[in-house]
Formats: sequence, structure tokens, C-alpha cells
Amino acid sequence: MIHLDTLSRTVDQRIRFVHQLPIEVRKIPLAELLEGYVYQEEVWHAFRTQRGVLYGIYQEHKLSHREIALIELLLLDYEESANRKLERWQQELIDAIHLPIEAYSERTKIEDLDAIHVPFAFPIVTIGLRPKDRQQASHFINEIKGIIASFAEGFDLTYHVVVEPTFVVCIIEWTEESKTLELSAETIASSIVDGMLREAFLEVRAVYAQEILDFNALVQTVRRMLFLALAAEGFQMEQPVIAIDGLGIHELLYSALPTLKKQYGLRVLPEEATKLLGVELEQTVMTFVENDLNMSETARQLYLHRNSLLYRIERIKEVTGYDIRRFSDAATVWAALLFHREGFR
Amino acid sequence: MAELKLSHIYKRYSGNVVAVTDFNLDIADKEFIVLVGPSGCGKSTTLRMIAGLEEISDGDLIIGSKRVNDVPPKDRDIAMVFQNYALYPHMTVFQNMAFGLKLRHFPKAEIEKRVHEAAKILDIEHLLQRKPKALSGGQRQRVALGRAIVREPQAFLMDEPLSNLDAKLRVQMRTEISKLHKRLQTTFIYVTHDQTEAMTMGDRIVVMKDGFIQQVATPQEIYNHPKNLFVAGFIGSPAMNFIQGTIKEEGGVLSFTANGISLTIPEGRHEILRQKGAINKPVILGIRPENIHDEPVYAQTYPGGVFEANVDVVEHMGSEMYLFMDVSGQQLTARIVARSDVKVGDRPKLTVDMSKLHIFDKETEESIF
Repeated sequence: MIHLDTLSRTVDQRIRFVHQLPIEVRKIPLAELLEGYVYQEEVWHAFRTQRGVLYGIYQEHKLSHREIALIELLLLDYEESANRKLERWQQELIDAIHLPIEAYSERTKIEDLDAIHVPFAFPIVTIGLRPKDRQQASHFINEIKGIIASFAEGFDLTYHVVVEPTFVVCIIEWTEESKTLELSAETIASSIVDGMLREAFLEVRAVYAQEILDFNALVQTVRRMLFLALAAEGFQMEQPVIAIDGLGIHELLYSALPTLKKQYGLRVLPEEATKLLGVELEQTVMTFVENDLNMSETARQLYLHRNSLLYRIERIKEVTGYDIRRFSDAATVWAALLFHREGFR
Repeated sequence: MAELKLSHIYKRYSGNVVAVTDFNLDIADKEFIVLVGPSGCGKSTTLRMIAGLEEISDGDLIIGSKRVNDVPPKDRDIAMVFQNYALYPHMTVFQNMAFGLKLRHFPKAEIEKRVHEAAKILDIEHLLQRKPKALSGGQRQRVALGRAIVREPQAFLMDEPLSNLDAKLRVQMRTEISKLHKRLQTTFIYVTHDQTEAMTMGDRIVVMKDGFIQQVATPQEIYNHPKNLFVAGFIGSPAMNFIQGTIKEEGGVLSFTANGISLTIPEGRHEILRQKGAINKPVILGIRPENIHDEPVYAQTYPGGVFEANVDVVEHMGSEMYLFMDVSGQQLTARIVARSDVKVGDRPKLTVDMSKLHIFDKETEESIF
């Protein structure tokens, strides 16, 4: 199903859909259009749906990374979805995924949600899974169900899945027996992520939440899991498994308006400075912050001698004017780099 | 068993970031090839493109005789071993190794056969019923290898598989992986930042920097004939000494002159220096620490290679000694025999083995010889 109406409302006419491309854009290979191609200051973006390719046009600075992700969620379809018959609880969860993506949504407790029949008993553990490469959405769906089934069987767990092309929600009954298996939601999430990588060569990011007690909480959790997965994706974070409360300040930064991100990012680190920093020095800043400004641990993780790390820190100071040995300077450069990574979206 | 051909491979990310540039390499069947370089050099990206975890922006990847750029990763018939060798905690070693085969609906008898064969090769048959938490680090790494072996792939890809192990275990597993390669007779592509791993394991080494291949050669060739300054400095521990100076000619004699040091270039090298127009031009002299000696016999053999240096630090390594020295402000390291009586503060006469000298063009950083 293509939710064009929902989409138009959500992004408030900031995206237009066409079936015919201008002659100049027709020359561009589809692979490039699927990534987004800039023509006359507008992004021409192809979306591959099960019913063919649809072309959307938008001005990049007017849509956030979250909105693009939502567009993909609404547009990308897979073969089962056209014919699937959903129960009410499944439809509610999918509707929750299709709402604007926010860290803390304003949707409050809805009484009739608790009255909905669900085929599982609370408490439950929930894991949200999203492929890192969204072009492999169909491949992801085919593999993820098999992997979840194998692990659930191995752990002897009762589970249900709600499948969207770029986001799969796995619900696991969390009985007293589950608790005695030395299991945790994190272990299961890690095993699924690991299994996808090793057996299907697909990189997946997982967000997990422990012990959800009612359906209202599940709906809110699913929305939040999607937000966290997107924040980690936008900032190109390496960690593949994230706890529902595990992203801290990243949530706030990811929620900032694109215009603010751009102004801040370019003021702290103009394009010229990011070019001079290059991959090596950017990685140095990120690893240094991730390791609480600890020189020894950062040097170890980057396979560097301490003196080489010191040299790099001095070089960063020359290029940016910030001395990342000071917490406030490190945080300033780090946040600006995150915004650059995200493309101010 | 397969040959791999990487032809004009590029990896570009958005924002004009190019991680790998024009990567060309033919990997022979059963070859053990090591990609080595500092962090961010593109070695892991290249491996991930071979695996299919990263899309290839440009170029051709051929496995066997088939172009596989658009073949899904799981259909490329390869197995990958990662740095993080996490095993499924609730499964026994047998179940861990069998998991992938079970997922692909292999018959039970075939799974049993493959797991037991791999366990025998890795000498972990007695551990098959244990859970991962009851295994040591080395045993866990063997099980991780076992999970890859049971797939019987055309090629093994290994991304820093030993980085999480302690130093002693790393040395042990290095040998084990080399033995495994000989037993399996399959193509191995191994990524590491550790030049010792590269030197000891690879049939050939690919040295990378900033997304470009710097040199592809056997370990011996790379060590003895580095193609440029980067390769010369990256391979070898302690690293090669570099001294900036000039080649000067006087009465048909060529000498390398720098602040506080003058070395006579052997006649056999004159022709190449002239051909490359290196006379009276700034060059960089390279000499490995083990090619600086304090024994008088070397001074007799290479009288033009004698110099004096102030010894700042002496490190006794047991079988040898490292001297860290200052020659008119330039820092040099020598690796000399342990029986030497050189002490901190001495100013010994040392000799450069002139047959082991390297000269690099200062501007291009390419090797002249």
C-alpha cells in the first residue's frame, strides 16, 4: 500500500511525486537516483516500491533525515504486505511506526489500546531491527524472520514479529522461566545482529527494551525504538545494539532542527576544516570522546603510540582551533562532527 | 577454491569521500594475501566490498570466473571471520558451528560430518558439548574459525581476527591460522594493522595508505625493497631510520651528506643515482636498525659507512640491544648484538652496512634504490 495521502500530510507538501523525469534526469542511472540526485537545486529521489519505481522531488534542506526515513517506510513495500491480513494489534503497531518519528512523542495513553486483544502475555521484551543498508530491505526481511525463528527456538521462547520493509519489531514473552535462562534482551538482540552478519552477511542495528507491561507502553516503545535506530544511523554510530535509554545526548542532537544543525556545524567546523581533518583525525576525535578523553585507551583502540595520538591532537588543534583535551572543546567539535556526518538533516 | 580478481575498484561515500581508489589485485587460488595499513587506509572497506557488506562504487570483482558485484553476499560462497568473535551464548560449541548450516537446511548427517571434520582440524573435538562461557579466549577464537570452516567456502575473509586477543595468544593463533591455511588449501584474504602479522602470515602483502595500494609483493620483497618511504617506514620494527640529506659528487666519488654524517655511496649504486638525477638533490636515506653495527669488522668492510653518535637510551632485549641515538639532532635507532658493551652517554663508532642502504626521492618519496 502506498500512503501518499499520509505522506503529503506529514511532510506538508514539501515533497512532490512524479512519474515522468526531465530529460536530464532520465540519463542518471537508477542506482544513483535511489541515493538521491541533485538537479536544479532539488533532490530527485527514486523509491523502489513493489509496484515499480516512484520519483519524489524535494529540496534537501526542507526535509530532515527522519522525514526521509519515514517516506521510505511509507513507500517501500514488499510482496507480503499487499496481501497480508493484519490483526488490530499489528495494525496499531504499524500505524505507530508510520507516525512522525520523535524521541518523545506527545501521544499519551489511549484507553482503548489496552482493550485490544494481543496473542501474547505481558511482560514482554521488544527488539526493533533495521538494516544498515536500506537498499537491501527485501533481502533483510527474508533473512531476519529465519534468524529470529532459529534463536527463539534455541532459547525456547514464544515470539511474534511485526514486519515493515525497513523496520522489524520482535516481541518476546518474558516469563519467569525466561528470566532463569541467564538471558537478557541485550543477549538476544546481540545474537540476532551477529547471526544476520555471520549467516546472511547483512548488517543490522537493534534497539531493545526490557519488560514492557502493557500495550500502550509497547506502542510508545516501538516509536521510540525507531527514533533511536534512526539517530544512530544518522550519526553513523558504530554500535549495532542499543538499549532503549542508551543514546543520551545523541537524542537531543538528533532532534535539533536541520537549519540549527547546519549553522552550528559550519560555524564550529567550516567545510575547509572538515576536509583538512579527513577520516583519520575525525576518527581520532570520535574515539577520544567515546573513551572519556582517555589518552591510553584511545591510543590502544586506534593502534597508535601515545606520542602519535598527541601529534594528532595537536594537529586537530591547528586545524580547528579547539584543544580536544579540554572537555568543552572536545564536546563542541564532537557535536559539530556528528552534524557534518548526518549532512545537517 | 577460487581465484579473485579486483579490477579498478573504487569505494565512494556521499560528500565526495573516497575510501578506496583504483584497487587492482589478482589473488591466486589457495593464496594467503594480507591487506595491511594504518587505520582508515581502506583495507577493511576493501574486504567488506569483497564480502558484499559494502557496495562497490566502481570496478569489477570477479570470484572464480563470475562477476559478483551484484551477487548477494550470502551467495558469494565466502566465509568471514571478524574481530569480534562473539559466539551464541546459549548454544554449545557444536550448535554454534552447526547454526549456519541448519539455517540453510543442510541434512543432519551432513551437518554432523562437517562440524566433526572442522572440530578435528581445529583440535576442539573434546569441546563440542561445552557452552562458550566455559571456553578460553583461544578456544573461542577456534570455534569462530570453525563456524567459517563448516561452510566450505571458496575463500576465507578475515578482518583483524586476532586484535581482541592478548599478545601471547595472538602469536599462538597466528601460527594456527597459517597452519589452517595449509591444511584447508583455500584462498585466504586477511586484514590487519599489524605489520608483524602481515610479514609472518602472508604469501603476499598489500600495503595500503589513504585508499591507495602502495605496494604488492612477498614479505621479503617488501622488507628488502620497499617501493616508497611510507612502505619503508611502515614495515619493520623498530622502524627504518630516515635521514634527510643530499647526494654530492667529488672526484667521481658519491657521498650522502647530512648534518653530522657523511657516507660514501658504493660504486655499484652510482649509475642509478645518475640515471634518476639524484645528484645534488635533496634525498632521504633509509637504513634499517639491524643494518647499523658497532663491531669493528663492519668498519673494515665499509670504511665509508662509519659515523659517530651519542647514545641516549639502551634497551636490552635479551638476544639483542636497541640503541636510541642522536646524530646532530637526528634520532637514529640501531639493533645490535647483545654482547656489545655500549652504554648510555657513550659516543661509539658505528658502521652502516652500505649494501643495505635505501635512497628515496625527497619530493616524490619513491625509492631510488
